[in-house]
Order: sequence, then structure tokens, then C-alpha cells
Amino acid sequence: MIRIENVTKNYRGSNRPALSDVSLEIEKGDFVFLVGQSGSGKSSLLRLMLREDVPSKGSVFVLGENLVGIPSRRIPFFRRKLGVVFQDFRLLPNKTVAQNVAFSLEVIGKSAGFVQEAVPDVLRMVGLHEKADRLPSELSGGEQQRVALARAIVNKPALLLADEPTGNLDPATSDEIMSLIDRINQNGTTVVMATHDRGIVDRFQKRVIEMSQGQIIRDQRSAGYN
Amino acid sequence: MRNILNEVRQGLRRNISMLISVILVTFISLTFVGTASLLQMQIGQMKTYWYDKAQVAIYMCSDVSPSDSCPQGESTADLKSAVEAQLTSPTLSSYVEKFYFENHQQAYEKFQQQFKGNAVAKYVKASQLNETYWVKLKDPNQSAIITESFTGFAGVEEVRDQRTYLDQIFGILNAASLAAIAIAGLMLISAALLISTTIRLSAFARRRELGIMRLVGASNTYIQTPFILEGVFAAVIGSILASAAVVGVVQFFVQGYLAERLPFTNFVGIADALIVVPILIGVGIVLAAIASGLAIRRYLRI
Repeated sequence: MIRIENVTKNYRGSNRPALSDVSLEIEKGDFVFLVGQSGSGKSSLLRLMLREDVPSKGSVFVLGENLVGIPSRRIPFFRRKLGVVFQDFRLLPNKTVAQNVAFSLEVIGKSAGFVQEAVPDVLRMVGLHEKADRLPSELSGGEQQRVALARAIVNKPALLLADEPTGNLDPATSDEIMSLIDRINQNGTTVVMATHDRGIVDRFQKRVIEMSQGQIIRDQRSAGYN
Repeated sequence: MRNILNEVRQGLRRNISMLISVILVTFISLTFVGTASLLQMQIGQMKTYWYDKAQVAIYMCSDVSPSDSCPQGESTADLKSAVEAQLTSPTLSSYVEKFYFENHQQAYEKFQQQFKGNAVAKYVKASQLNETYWVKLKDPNQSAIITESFTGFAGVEEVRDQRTYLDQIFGILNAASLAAIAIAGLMLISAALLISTTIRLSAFARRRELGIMRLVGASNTYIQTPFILEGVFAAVIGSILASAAVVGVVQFFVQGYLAERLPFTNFVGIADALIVVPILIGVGIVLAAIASGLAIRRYLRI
């Protein structure tokens, strides 16, 4: 599913590499927590998996694509095979909940019929079908993140990347989001989630990859935060 | 497709003032392009018409001719028949289509007609005007043969190809049309820059949407097309206005005004203007598509 080999990433203007000689492999159906302090390289790693960046050295394979050599016109098609959520939700403020989810289907050319069926389905799954016509500003943070999750999974991706999805939420709301992500994982979607939330990691006891100063210092199955 | 058109409409509404400025700049620059190309066509038409009519004049000496070329004063009948003999000789006759002689009186009448109402017409006397052999050549390009044969010939004051006068006029017209082309070029550059700035602003205003589109895997074509259409839409309106202006100028100024006042000149007509119209629209579309395509590329880089 994901294979990263000897990856080093240098950013211009910084002499310390953001990632240095990182290798890891993630199997289909895995649930992986990426933990570590800010600046340890978690986000850099996620950016490489999303092909928002290319490594300075090494190779990245995700969903069968070699992301170092992929021609740029194929990147959009690669991205259709995965879903992403962020700490800041990234919803369109002038579109309703349903329109936000539909937008991501329309821009990849799905038919109106498909959109009409898929959107209510996925909103029901995240528990927001009654708020389909609300604007994001009328929703709580947790609800907004559920919209973002609905958008990420409406296309039934094989992989979900989540960058601190609970970072802006209170503990109770975080739990709702986490149980949703867990359900998505149980339906067969591989999940890679970067987080600072000690409680969540300890409770779920999944695979934990801990990073520090651009290197993996721990990769452990069924583990806690430290 | 419906979504793309919707995006275009939203984008156009969002910055209407920029849209208007793009329309005006393309309108004006393409009007210059159109005028310059019509001027070139006009020069071409006049050249074929007038060059064909141009003759070589062999001016014979008169009483008032300068003494260095005409030491003997007024040309005698002998000298004139020598010129005539030379023109009909086998060496020259193969180049000459026809020639005719214009005496003092004929030259005077022609002068009076040409300078009617001008003060100079009152003072000039028939004897001051050269008697002339007007030579029409089979090939007007070969005027040098006549010039060489008769320059310095006894009783000949000067040999002059009328085309040298025409060349001056055409030179001026040509410079004018080149100036119009140069201005048009500068205006087109500013139009292109303005279009790309407009599109960049438009993309900046929609950067959230663009970011999400890229994230969920919208293809580059899908992202790019509304912006390119936006630029092209503005440019098409500008070029339609420019086309209307060019056709209007030909219809009302050239055909309606100039052609009536100068009846013996062959002016460019609506048919010529209609050749220019698709060129203007084509230039407008291509320019806008390239300018906005380049402007949006930065937002597609992943």
C-alpha cells in the first residue's frame, strides 16, 4: 500500500533535513498513528504520500504509484484514489454541507446521478444528513470535520491520510471523529494519521510510528503514545 | 461542462471592472492591428494601380532651364526629332509600349487644371513649362534604360521616373502603417499582461477552491479551463468591438467620405475589412488563451 525507502527531504533555506533516511512500509488495512513533536517530520512524510512534495533522495510508492517519477498530469488521478483530512477542515464557506461533498465529486467528473446518490449516503454515515443544507459556518468544529471526512471518503478511497484531524476539537468531539475514522478503517480503508493526542493513541493501541528530528525512532504494533 | 460554465460566470461577475479594462484594451489594440493591416492593403492596391500608370518623363530644355544641362537654351526641332528617333530605334522600341509628346501649350493647360485656384497658376507662362516626352514602358521596372539613354542627351533637361514621386508617398504611408503596427504591438503586450494579471487575481480570489480541487484530484484541464475561458470571453468581446470599429471606419470614413472626395483612387472596401475581421478575432482568442493559460499555470504546479 505504502512503501517509503531511504527518503531524505531537504527544504531550501534549512540545513537540517526535514526527513533523513526514512524507510517504512504500511500494509493494506493498517491503522497507523504518526506521532512526534512539531517539526519532527510527520507532516513532511504525509506531504510526500500525497505527492504535494517529492523527496530529495529515496523513493515513495503509494497505491502502486511511484510518486517520484509520476508525470504531473497523472497526479490528479492518483489523488482520486485517496482521501485527506486536515486540522483546519478546508471546507468551502459559501457552499452547503451537501454542496461541499458534491463539489469533490463534480470536479472529478462524476455524473449528476452518482452525486445525487452518493452524497446523502455518505452524509448519513457521518451523521449529518439532517444538516445537509447548512453552511459550514453554522456547524460546530466537530461537525465541520465530519463534513471533511465525508468528502474524503465519498469516493471510497483505499487510503485515508489525516493530518491532526482532532487538533482543533475538544476531547468529546475528538472521540466522535475517532470512532468515525475507526469505522472507516474497519470497512477496509488504510488509515495514516498524524497526531499529538496522547489519549487517543493510548486508547486505540494501534501501530505507532514515532518520529524525532526527521527520523523514525520507534515503529511498534499495538502500542501507546510512548 | 455545466460546472465549468458556472465557474466562468462567477469569475466574470467577481471582477467586472478588470473584465471591462481587458475588453477595452483588447478593443483598442486590435483596432490598431486592424487599421494597420487595412493601411497595408491600401498601399498595396495603390501601388499596383499607380505603378501601372507611372510613366517616365523626358523633360526637354526650355528658356528657363539651368544652363549646365541646357547650354543651348530652348530645344530645337532637330533635337526633339533626335529624341524621337532614339525612342523608336530598335534598341529602345522593344521596351517602350507607347510615348507621346506634350508641347508648351498642352503642359500649360494641364498645369492650369492641376493648380486651379492656386496663386501660382496666374504667374506661370506656357514657355516656362517643359515640353515633355511621356514614355510608357512595357515593364515599369525597367525605367533605368530610358534614364540612362537620355540623361545628358542634347536638348534634354532631365529624365524622371514618376515612380520616384510615388515611392516617396508610399514611403510615408508605409511609415504610418509601421507606426500603427508598432503601437498595436505595444498595446497587445499590455493587453496580454493585463489579461494575465486579471486571471491571476481571479485565481487568487478562488485559491481555496483551487486548493481543494487539487486535493480531491480535479484534472489540470478542469481547473484551467474556466480561467482560460474567462480571459478568452473578455478578449472575444474586445475583438468583436474592434472588428465593428474597423468595418465602421471602412464603411463610413473610407467609402463614405474619402472615396467621394477622391473619386479616382481605388480604396479598400468592406470586402477587405471582412478579411481582417477573422484575423482580429483569431488574434484576440489566441492572445487571451496563451496569456491566461500561462497565468494559471502557477496555480497548477503541484
